[in-house]
Amino acid sequence: MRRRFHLHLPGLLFVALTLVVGFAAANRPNNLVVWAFGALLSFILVSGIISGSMMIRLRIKRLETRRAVVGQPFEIRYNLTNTSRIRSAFAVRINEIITNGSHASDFLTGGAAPGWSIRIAPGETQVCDVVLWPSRRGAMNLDRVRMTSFFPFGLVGRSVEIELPKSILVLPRVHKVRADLLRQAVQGELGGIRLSRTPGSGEDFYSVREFRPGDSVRQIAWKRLGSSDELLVVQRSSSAPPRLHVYLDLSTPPSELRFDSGLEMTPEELEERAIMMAASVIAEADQLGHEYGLSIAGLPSRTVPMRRGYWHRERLMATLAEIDLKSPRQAMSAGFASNDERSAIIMIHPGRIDTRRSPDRAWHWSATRMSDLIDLDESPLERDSDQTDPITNPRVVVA
Amino acid sequence: MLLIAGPVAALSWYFVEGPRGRALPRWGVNLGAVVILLLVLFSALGEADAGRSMELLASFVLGLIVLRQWQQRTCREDAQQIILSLVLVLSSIMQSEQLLFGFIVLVWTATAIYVVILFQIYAGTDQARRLRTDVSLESRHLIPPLSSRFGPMDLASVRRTTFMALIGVAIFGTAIFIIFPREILFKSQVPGRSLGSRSGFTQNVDLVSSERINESRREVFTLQWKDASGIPMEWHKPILLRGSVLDHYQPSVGKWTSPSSRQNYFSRVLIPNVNGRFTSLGLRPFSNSTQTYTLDVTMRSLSSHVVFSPWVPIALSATEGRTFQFNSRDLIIRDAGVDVLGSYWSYRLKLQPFPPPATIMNLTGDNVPTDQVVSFPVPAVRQIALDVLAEQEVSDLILPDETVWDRNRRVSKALEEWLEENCSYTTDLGRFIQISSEDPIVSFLKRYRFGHCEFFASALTAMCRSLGIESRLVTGYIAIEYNRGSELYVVRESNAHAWSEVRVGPYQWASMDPSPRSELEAIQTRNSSWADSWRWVYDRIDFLWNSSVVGFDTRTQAMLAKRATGGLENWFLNKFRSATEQIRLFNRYVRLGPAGYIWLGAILAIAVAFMIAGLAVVRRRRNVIEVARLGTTDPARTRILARQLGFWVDALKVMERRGIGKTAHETPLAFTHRAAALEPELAAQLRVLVDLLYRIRFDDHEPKSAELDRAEQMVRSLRTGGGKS
Repeated sequence: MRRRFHLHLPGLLFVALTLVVGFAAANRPNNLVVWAFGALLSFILVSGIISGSMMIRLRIKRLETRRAVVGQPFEIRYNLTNTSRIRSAFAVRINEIITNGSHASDFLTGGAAPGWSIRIAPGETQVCDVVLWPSRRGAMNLDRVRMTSFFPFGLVGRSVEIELPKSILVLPRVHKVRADLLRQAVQGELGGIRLSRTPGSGEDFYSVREFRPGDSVRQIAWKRLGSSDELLVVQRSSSAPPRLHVYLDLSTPPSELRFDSGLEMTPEELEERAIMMAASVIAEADQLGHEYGLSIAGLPSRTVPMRRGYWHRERLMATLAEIDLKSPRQAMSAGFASNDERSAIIMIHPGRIDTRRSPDRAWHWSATRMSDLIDLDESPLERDSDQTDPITNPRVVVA
Repeated sequence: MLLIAGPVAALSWYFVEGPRGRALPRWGVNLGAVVILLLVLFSALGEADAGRSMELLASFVLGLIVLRQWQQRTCREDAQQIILSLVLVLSSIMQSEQLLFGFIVLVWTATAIYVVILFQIYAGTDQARRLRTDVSLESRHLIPPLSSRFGPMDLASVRRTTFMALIGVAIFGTAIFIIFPREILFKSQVPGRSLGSRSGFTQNVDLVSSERINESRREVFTLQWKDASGIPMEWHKPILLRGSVLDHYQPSVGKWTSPSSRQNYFSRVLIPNVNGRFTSLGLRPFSNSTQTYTLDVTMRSLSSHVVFSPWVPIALSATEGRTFQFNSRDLIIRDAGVDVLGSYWSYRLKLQPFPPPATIMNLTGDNVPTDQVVSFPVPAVRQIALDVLAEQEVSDLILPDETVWDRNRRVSKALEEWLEENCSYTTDLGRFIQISSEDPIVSFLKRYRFGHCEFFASALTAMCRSLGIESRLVTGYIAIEYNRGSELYVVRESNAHAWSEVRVGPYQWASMDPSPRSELEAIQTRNSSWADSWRWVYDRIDFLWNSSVVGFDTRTQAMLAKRATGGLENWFLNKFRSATEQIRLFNRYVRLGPAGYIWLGAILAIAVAFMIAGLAVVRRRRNVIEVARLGTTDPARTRILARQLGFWVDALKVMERRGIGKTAHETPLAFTHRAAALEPELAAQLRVLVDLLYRIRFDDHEPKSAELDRAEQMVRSLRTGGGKS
């Protein structure tokens, strides 16, 4: 815990004014001026004493945080407790202190809204929140929470910093993939190629079960009726969803990345774009109900197999968020993407497209043409994130 | 200005912040500010005076504050208004130290503290809300609104904090006021050393100054004139109360002063702290044959070290032990200002209005000035004096059958009569334009022939001195308003006066007042109003203000320091001696002996232990009542429950120590669930405890002592993390 006094601009001006009045009092034998000087000086003293004694009894605890996504406000909640039995705490501002080395400021270029509590009564615990607006993907290290108050006169501030280390993974920003692009990519991969594991209204046989009132007569398994007295019905499997495998090609080191020089972008920026495109494709695939997987070429990241659903999407997003672009790159192995894979394949390249080691039927998207592929004004993941988040909204069941 | 500015500013609440919501546009406010600035500048150019800078600044700021009240204000403008009001008060403080203004400053301080505290909350909330809105707008995402509840309880808490802050400011401000190093820092004399505040009285006379003579009816002090038998009476003529004697004229600056050499004649007179007892000012006892009167003086608003006295005081008495200084040459008394804090409140004088030479000799000792040749440094005055005497057909020479003293009386009387008849009295010197090449006394006598008492007295003194007649200018007060009901003379600020004294004998000086008496009385009655009967209340407070605040100076500081150190030491010593004495008396009475004292000590220790235990029980009971919220139940039931539910308070304390505190809004059951989730090994104990709590509190369950013991045992097990205690 670190405690400090702060004197900001109004406070400094007030101190200057006090000194001027003190000078006047010293040169002018007017006792009322002396009294005014005393009052001004005591304003500073009382301000320091009240804010100091008020802040010393405050305790703060960070509550479980929600998911953080680049470009979306991210709310962190706290339990703020005033342990004093007598004194209330007023006008307390709460700030998060991020320690990501030289990248600390990158995370908040979007801005932040501090937490604020008007009054915390003696013994009271309040829930306050800070809204951050991260502008960078990756692990955001929240190191300390600072509580500051300039109460009562706004002259001398007192801050208390409490160490509450926590690392939050900021997921990459996602945008809407342009209409029908994804549908075209997965067109040949519609259901029927493989069996689904859940009962539904498809065409393939799934199982038989006992007849229940309401079952159609056409579903009755007449052949089984001969060997059994029990009336059974045939159950069909559900349609298998289309499958999509997203390959992110980061095998080319940034220094060797080839792209049009007229783009006015750095290789790192293009790679970030590629990550964003991958995230957008995954989010779109999740929206459309596809099964999807992710493989990252060039980095020692594992391949995430095909699944679908909220947790799978979050896993993939986390994988993309964790990518460290400063890691050494490895060349793409020969069998990295197989022609035998029963899924649509989208390969995303940061620079110029390289089709040498990819299956013939793969779609190749380049980050240099992102605006043609992705609608930057819309963000599907943001639109439904609150409804599909089982942490914040457990009543919604995700299929 | 305040009388106009106040209502105008107050009206803005209705028009701008009221239901109408009409405000001046920004350009209108800016235009108004420019107009105010120009008005102030014109005023400054019209009467160029560097001393008015603060007054002009205050006028401008006041105008600006009132104007800005009529515009739509944001948080930023409100902050500027607070700063402007601070500037207004500070610039006004440079100008005035009157009681009324001091009161306004105190009220402003209290209000400012409250306003600034509320502003801090308001501005902080506004900023937090704005930042949140900015993030929401820029990111195009909805974010939860800021929770900014502020109810009556919060407001009451703010008021309590304001009060505490006010107390803090008052304590620190007073401490700094007291210890401020005036002696080192003040470049000029502290006003309290000479005179508390505005009183009309001046120790020096400045004829060039354009200051208007004060006509205020503020009561300065009251006096009661008593005859030898102590019966109050009205004196047959106005009483002239001497405060300062001036006989040195500086023609270059038009100023009458008292040479510093006259300070050497002051001697110390100690007045013992015995009421009613007079201390003689003479070297020997005075003769009882001369008619002696008594004068009781009580201060109303004046706080001064000058003791005003008619001619000629022979003895002095004060209501508190004080040291005075007596000037045996001029017969002037002043308070030495040592040993006692503040100015004197009242004093009594024994007087001999017609003193025989023996009385004067007794008072002056060897300090009677020898006959000396006097002159006046402005030659033109002599010719005027001779012209006046010629007009009056009076010779300035000593006639065959008279002494020089008779001549002095005759000539000065003639000059006094001439002034009274030929010059008019006025306090308005607007038409009295000083001419640089001409002395103001000459201007008065030749050119204008109107002025106030200082011009009349200066003219008479100057003419007398130019003719070789020893005379001097005296300043003080004239008591002319006698109240027959209270048998008191009331001396007001407008009664500050100047007159002349002419030497008419080896030990005798005659007071000559050339100011027309009728004019003085007219001024006295001109401004009387119904408020005069209540004025004494204000004046009494004014005295305290002048004595304690305005007149606070280095000697008061030194005295306080002496009291703080010596006084505290003496207080402790006295208490110690008194305690020792009490013990000795007790011992003599009871004769306990060593064993007895051991027993007594043991009994006292047991009593103290019981007292502490009693306090602990009361405190615990209060704690239980608060935690279990038993305040509204039947008192008898509350007492029982407070005894039975102690285990729950103990459990909460243990859990708080373990880092799981119960919040105010949480029910015991909800708290138990939360705590059990965080520390599952304590879940069983907590469940039993909360079950017992609910049964006792809401199901009228009467627990057996074994049950309560078991509960306490569980609480102990909570301490050890669920294991056996």
